[in-house]
Amino acid sequence: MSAFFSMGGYALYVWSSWGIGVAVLIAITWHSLSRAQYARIRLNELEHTNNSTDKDQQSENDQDA
Amino acid sequence: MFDYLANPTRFRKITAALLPVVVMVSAIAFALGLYLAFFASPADYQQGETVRIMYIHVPAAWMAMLTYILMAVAAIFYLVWRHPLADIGARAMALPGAGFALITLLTGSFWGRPIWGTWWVWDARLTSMLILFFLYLGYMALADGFERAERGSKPACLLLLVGVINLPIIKFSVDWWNTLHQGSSVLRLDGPSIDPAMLKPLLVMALAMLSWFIAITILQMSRLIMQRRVSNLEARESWS
Amino acid sequence: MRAILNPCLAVIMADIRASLRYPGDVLSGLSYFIMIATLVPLGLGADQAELARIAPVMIWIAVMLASLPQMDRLFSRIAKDGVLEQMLISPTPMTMLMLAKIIAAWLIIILPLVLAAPVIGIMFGLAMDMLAMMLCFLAIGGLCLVMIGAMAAALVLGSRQSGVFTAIIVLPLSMPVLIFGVAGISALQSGADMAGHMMLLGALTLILLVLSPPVTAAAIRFSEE
Repeated sequence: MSAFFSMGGYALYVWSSWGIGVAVLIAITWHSLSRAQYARIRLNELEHTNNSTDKDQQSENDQDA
Repeated sequence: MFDYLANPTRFRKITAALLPVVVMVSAIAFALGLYLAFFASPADYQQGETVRIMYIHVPAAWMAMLTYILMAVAAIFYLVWRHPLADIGARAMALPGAGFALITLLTGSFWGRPIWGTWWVWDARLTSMLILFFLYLGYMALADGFERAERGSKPACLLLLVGVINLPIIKFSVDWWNTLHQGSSVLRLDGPSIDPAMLKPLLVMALAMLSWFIAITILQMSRLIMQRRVSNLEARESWS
Repeated sequence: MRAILNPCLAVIMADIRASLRYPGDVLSGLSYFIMIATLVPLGLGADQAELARIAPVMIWIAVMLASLPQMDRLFSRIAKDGVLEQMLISPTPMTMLMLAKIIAAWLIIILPLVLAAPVIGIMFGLAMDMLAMMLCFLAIGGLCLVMIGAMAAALVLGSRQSGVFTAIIVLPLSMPVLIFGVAGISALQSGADMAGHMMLLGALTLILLVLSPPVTAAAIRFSEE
């Protein structure tokens, strides 16, 4: 087991690269999720404060967007 | 096909069905890729265990290049057919693309240290990847650089096209520069041919990253669509 | 033919007149250029052989940096005056007008730097015959830089903070210019043949000549929509 983690003496390099790679992927995933979540909340707020006139506008948006 | 997808409602429906699939594929491929990369593949006879860095480095490099090309294709769709969804697609892909380039650079550095003895060499491929990373940054800065978000779309797409035309020139010039300054010829990485036992983890990791990329792109695109509607609604609120 | 040529000449003349009226831009660009070149030996030490070796690179980088701020402002004044709008509605093709603009920018921005380069070359101990070739490379490569700069300046027109944008757009794209330009001089210094380098730089110029004016024109059109 320790032989596996020591990576033939290259542990620092192998695990650091994989660590960085996975960290970047996770950071981007987290960032995208949180921004999507924020946009969804904001959109809900706006659509609920406004009333039925917005509904027409929204379907119109659907068509031209 | 693009016309068909361009309707946001339909887009939402299709992506809602697609998203779980790509997330699943990505998760499975990552797990399998990790297993293959660390357990089911041999150490290289020259590079030893450091060859395992390749399984994240090389797929990331492929994806960094593929992403830029896809963005350029989206830019053509946007500039020629004016589909807002194409612009949104290009914007959505920029962050994961830059991420791939960053991963390539950093893991390359960690690979270079034990193999070449330095953290960075001015090797042709490293240098062109660095420039690709800057091209991503330039695109993102330009796309988000205007008061009104949509105003940046056309210039940024145009920049993508200029970039994609320039990329081969940059690559050629850097390659050529490298042959002029060949200080140490031992630093060649591309061995004769790759062992099939090493090819398998490489391809599986590439699949994992590709499906992750698709998932993130879908997520970002739906976020951008929502954001546009938010800013439309906000604009209308401030009017009334 | 005349119908296209005359407006283009008018654009070039107008730009030259404007730069003569406000010589501050050109002069500050020149002093920036010389200042960059002065900083290098102060940091590196005064070893003549070493300085002569790095002189081509340093002059190239100084030209790239010193031309950046001016290229950034290439269209901002005429955008404010409404001249760009006039250009768009004029019968002359926008692409040709942009080509004229590029030629004018070369005359105003690059030519003074090219003329100042021998001074720095001499300060850095470059041989005389090398200097002459250096000027040729700078003149041709400078045209490439201007064409890239024009595209970038048109793309960032109307953005929030154009200065930095132009830099991050221009510098990666002008990497090949630097590589071919410096390699030519270095080859000459080491006694190798430099014709190949010159041809590569020429090929790059031709590609940009086809690419830059239409892209610049399109970007201007977007900014005026």
